[in-house]
Amino acid sequence: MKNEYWRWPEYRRTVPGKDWTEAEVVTAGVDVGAVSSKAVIMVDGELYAYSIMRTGSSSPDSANKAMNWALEGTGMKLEDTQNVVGTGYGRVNVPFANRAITEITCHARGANYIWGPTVRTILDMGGQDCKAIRCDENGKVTAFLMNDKCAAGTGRGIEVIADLLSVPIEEVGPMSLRVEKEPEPVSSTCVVFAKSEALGLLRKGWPKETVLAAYCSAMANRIAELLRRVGVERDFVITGGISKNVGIVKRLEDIIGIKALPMKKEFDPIIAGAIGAGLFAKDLYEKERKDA
Amino acid sequence: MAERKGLREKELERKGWIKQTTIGEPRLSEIVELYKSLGYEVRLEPAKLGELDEECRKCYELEGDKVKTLYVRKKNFR
Repeated sequence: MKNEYWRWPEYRRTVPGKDWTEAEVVTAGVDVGAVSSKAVIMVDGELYAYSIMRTGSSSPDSANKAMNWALEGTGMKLEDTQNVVGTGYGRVNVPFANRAITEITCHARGANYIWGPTVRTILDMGGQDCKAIRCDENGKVTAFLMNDKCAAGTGRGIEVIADLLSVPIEEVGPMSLRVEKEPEPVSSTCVVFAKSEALGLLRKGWPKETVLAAYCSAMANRIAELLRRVGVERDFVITGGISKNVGIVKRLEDIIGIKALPMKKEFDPIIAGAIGAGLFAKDLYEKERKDA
Repeated sequence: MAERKGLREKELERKGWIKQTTIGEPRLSEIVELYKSLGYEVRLEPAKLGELDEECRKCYELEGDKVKTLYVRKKNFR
């Protein structure tokens, strides 16, 4: 079987020490992205369980699978949740969601939950897009900018390069930093053209580390431009899959001159949008109950 | 996306429109909705494929006229 170097770990987790049966409000947020699907279960507004898996060819199926996996082993059924909000690329295709909310809105809210009210700038580096978001102390969006229709400089681009160079995706970032001298960035982060450019560099005798450094550097430059246009204010945080690529994050921080807050051990930054959706689900449920 | 600033963009800039992104659905509707909620006027223009580098143009041509360039302007702009 061919090695799939692009494959990132899919997993589920239940936060230890919480009992959902005692909860007043149980809600869920489901973020169906272009590349990954995430489901979280929130118990009284606190993260209880979540799952992260690859999005398949059908958004509704991916939403169902992610939700069922998040519920697995908790003793909870979907019917035990009082409200569900869908978000992400496939947000309108979450069959069991009561409402869909845009992912930019959800990411800001989720980042506010994970890192706290001092967060003012969020960079969401997703599978097929990249968003720079500004928010207030309540996690409400005040400005944002999304990249053009192009997978260049996104997670999909890193997956292609990982496969091309036969480097496991988790190793791409650390390996790119093992260069003595920073190479010139590749001329294009276009997923289609990067392949031929990277192959050309390998044929020239560049070590894999150097090719990866050139690619990560080009991606960091591209993302920095998006941030420059929206403006970066502290605290600055990074969500999405590429936040785990230290080679891009380090170079990006060097370019913009601001360090991102470190990842929190208990929260995977990939689930920020789903957490935001789960929190909005709670707000909406409580509002409906109050209005009734 | 590598692009040069065209005459149309310069004309829109003079009227206060700021170019944000060039994108298709389903993202387009999402960000239009969000910009409006933030108090912006939104303007959609056909993507100017002729102003793109060749490598980008090929990708955009696949989506035909579904891809739009989005401009925003604060509602009270004078």
